[in-house]
Amino acid sequence: MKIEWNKLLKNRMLYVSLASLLAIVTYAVIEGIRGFHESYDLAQQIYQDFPDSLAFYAPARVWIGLHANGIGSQLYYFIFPLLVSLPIVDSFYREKKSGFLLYTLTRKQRSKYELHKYLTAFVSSFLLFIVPLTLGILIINAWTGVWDYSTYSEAYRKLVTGTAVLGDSTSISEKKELFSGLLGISPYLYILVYYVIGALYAAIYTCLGLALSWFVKNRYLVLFIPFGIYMAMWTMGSFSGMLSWDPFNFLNPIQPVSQLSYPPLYIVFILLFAVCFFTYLWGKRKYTDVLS
Amino acid sequence: MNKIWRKGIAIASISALLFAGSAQAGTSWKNIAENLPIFQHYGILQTDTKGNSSNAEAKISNIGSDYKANLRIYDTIQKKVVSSNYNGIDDNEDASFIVAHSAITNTVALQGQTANWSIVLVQISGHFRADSY
Repeated sequence: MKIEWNKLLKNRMLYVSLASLLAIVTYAVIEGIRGFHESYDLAQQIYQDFPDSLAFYAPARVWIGLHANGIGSQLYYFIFPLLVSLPIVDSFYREKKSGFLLYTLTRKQRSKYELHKYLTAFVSSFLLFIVPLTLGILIINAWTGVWDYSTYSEAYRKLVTGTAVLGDSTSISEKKELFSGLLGISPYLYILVYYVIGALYAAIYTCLGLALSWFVKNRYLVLFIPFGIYMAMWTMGSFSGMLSWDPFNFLNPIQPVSQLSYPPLYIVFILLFAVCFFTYLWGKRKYTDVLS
Repeated sequence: MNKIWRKGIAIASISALLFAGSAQAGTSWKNIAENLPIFQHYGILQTDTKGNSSNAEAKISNIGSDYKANLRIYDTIQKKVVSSNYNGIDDNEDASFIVAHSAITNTVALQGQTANWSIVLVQISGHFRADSY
């Protein structure tokens, strides 16, 4: 396991990925803060007599994933399968090509080697997804000086119970279909749950890319497998109208489509996991002779 | 004398009609039947003349598939946004916009975008008026 982490830390692509994710986060933060100040200034004029409406104009509104029309926020959720998987998704391919795989297998059990590889891929992708997003929250809060969102949560609870006194222009769609109770407790809790779910998907996309890499002979194609799967699901969801089953839509904390429900969150994950597992078994059987 | 009276009455009637027409310009509902552009670009859904400081209103009856939309009011003369965004509007939902005073007498547009990046055009229908009274 330690060897896998050492290999990953020495891989230049890890830093390219991290830098790209942080660049998107930086852009999203700047865009978010600018948007927050504009909307808050306007809201202060409009909602002088409606504190519940004004409470919704909190910096949490522009956290990555919650910024309704932020390009940076959308871009992060668009491109993450590519960036989180870049450092490791082609590692089987590279090690097979260079002969390092055969060298390793003379010293280590194949199942152990593969398990360590998958675990490293899973954990590293999970962290690569979640760390820049968490940094984004910290920077936005530090920049605006707002860390306490109890007023926001209180206004949200009132919105849910129908006791909020709202001014015109306050969108009732502030009310979320999923994890609504968490938003009523704290937006931190709500976003944490979404980031963790997103990170789990990021991790499974990478593992799936890793499993499929046994069958692909082009390195660049291998690098694009996780992103390609994500895009294929987006395309299918868009053209079939099954938007609530498409990860691009249901992973987004803003909940940008209607008819969202909990089952797609775990069913799609289990399906991706199953495809990953069976692809791994298939690849293992197919390439047993080559490697043993 | 009669001619002068007739002319006067005719001018007064025409003026009254024109005035009434312009006063009513923003309050009558206009149909929305448009497509929201791909990749969350804003599209103009309908335009109207802003006559007073009352709220602008949009009644959205249908958005294609399960998409949601973000709406805002844009001043086509000043070329700037003059309301806050109404985010995540869904089927059969009404939106009311407090519009900046600078937009009064100008032509304003209801702009819309999908709530998430989309690769398909999304149909949207409903009604819009620049003035609620």
